[in-house]
Amino acid sequence: MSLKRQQFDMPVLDDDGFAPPIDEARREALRNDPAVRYYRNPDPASGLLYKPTLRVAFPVEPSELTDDDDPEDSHVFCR
Amino acid sequence: MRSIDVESDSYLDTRFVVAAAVNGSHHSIAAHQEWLRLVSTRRSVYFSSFLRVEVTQALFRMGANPARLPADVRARYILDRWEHDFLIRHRWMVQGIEAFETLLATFAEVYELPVTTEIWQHSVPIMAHYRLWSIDAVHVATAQMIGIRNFITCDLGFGRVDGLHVILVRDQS
Repeated sequence: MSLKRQQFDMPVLDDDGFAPPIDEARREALRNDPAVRYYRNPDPASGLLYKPTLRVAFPVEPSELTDDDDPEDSHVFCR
Repeated sequence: MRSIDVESDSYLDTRFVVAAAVNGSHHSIAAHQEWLRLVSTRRSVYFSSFLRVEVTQALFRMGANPARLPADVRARYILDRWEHDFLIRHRWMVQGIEAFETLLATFAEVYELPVTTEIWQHSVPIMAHYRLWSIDAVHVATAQMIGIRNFITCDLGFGRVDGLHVILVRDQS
């Protein structure tokens, strides 16, 4: 079995430790690298929309936790 | 035709992402403004997959130390019961993670980069040279190895790194 080393791992670094500035060829390599997760939004036709990985149903309704405060109505997290 | 601004690709540090996702957290106002800029200008953003671990850690610490959050947030999420109630902790974590993932879905282009052995190796001299924590050095190493100099963070420490264009996002104290 051959192991294909990813281009991701083989940059030539400058004196500050940086690879050459990223360009479209490099982006294309990253998009094709199976170790890289790539998302494009909002472009449903691309099939590359970010899909949330965590969908955990809250085990109880918030109303069971408190009488008055419903975090679902808040804007603390989602903007 | 691509309409993404490829000249300004940016790397996202964890503290910026957490601040942008959680209203009322440290530097959340400035982070929100920077997030708006990134989204409206369709910037491509990059981050290390390790950021996911750091985000959950940051959320946990935030919930466990509610003094870090405004009183109305503490009250709304009943964080004073954090130590004693799994449901309180679970709700805070889940909603925080959903906010993080909602944030990711707003960027025009997102590259989530793996932590490789090469990046880890590259991070070691970065730690030694710039006196960074290991995780911060991994972020710098990741950005360096893909050739991204724009580095969005709330952390002053990254300013020590040569060649890094630090976009410091902090609320005025």
